[in-house]
Amino acid sequence: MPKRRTKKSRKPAGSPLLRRLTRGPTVLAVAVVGAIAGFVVLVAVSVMTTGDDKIERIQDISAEGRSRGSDTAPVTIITFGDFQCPMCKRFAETTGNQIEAEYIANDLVRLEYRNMAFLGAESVWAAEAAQCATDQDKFWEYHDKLFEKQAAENSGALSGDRLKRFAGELGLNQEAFDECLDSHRHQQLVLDETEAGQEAGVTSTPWAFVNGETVKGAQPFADFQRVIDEQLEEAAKAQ
Amino acid sequence: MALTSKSVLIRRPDGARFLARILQWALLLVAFAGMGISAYLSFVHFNGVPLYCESTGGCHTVQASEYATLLGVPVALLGFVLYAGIFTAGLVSIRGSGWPAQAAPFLVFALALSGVLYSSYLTWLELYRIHAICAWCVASASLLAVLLATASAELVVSGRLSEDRGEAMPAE
Repeated sequence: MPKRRTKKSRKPAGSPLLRRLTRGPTVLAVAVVGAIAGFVVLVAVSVMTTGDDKIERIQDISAEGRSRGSDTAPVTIITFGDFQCPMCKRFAETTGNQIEAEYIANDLVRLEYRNMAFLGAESVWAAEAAQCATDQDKFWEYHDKLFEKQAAENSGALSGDRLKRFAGELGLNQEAFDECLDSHRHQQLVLDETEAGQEAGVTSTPWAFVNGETVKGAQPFADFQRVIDEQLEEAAKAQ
Repeated sequence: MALTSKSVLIRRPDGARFLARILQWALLLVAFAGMGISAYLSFVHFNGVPLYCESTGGCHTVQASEYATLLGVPVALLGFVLYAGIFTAGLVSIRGSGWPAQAAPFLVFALALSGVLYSSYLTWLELYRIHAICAWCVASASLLAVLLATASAELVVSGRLSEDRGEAMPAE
């Protein structure tokens, strides 16, 4: 190959094959294919490593005594609530009851209550108290009572004394309950559950995972219905 | 004599040469901006400093989600590597010589394309899995779209897609 070439008479060097392979359009095609391949790999990794783990991490914490509905129900709803949250109160007293009547009673849905105790110290105490009630198999009654007595956040409405009084009013063993609450027996569970929820993406309450699909906020019953029905369909297909 | 990006021979009109250069420099600028954003987000991730976020807090939700890391690596860091790659390849296409200088614009295109594709996927995740939008992520996706458009335009305007061996930029 001559070493000197003038500008005007230059010819591209290299074999005909190399010249073909390094033509602009060919290189572009390689670039496009490479980009798409890289993208596919990244998405595949992303899809394989995310998704359902978050629900498993939540369910590693036992919700025994805090769920309603058949264990064999095809759809599980995990609801996160804070006892100081007004929208959670609304959800519990409206949509929650409708879900109970339409789906839980018919063995279609199992609902778990989980703590997202993030609105302040009283949120955590109330959650601990509800856990102490769970020890005496009275979670749901205590849950209803807490929402009934809800007032302004961290205003003393859910102070230790009042929490203990609620237990008395519901007929719980006062001594056992007080001991449980004073010793903060369930504080770690409440904190762990709150953290597991946050890791799963919960940032506000109420928050629900319907077979893993998020429903954020105190949505009207119709919205929940749509999502539940979709999940029921999918579950039926999978069988 | 070495083949430099400056001495390559396809005859291009002066206007096209000028435009191609503008596009190359614009590319560097946008890639640099992208490096800045992704470096900031990576810094926030590793140092736990508060993220500057608009009032609805969407940024926090997105950054805290499981989708913000890939195999333990923050997506922001992957973004930084991508932008740095585009920036470097852009530099090579302007100042480099030999076949790297000729190949670099295609590499810029490939990186920008994969960036646009992946950030589209991330946007989909924001809408349908995380249920929150992070303004920083939107900004980055927009920058990548601009980079792809610029890289594509540069390939066309500079004549690199013409027949002869991808040679394009005329002598200056």
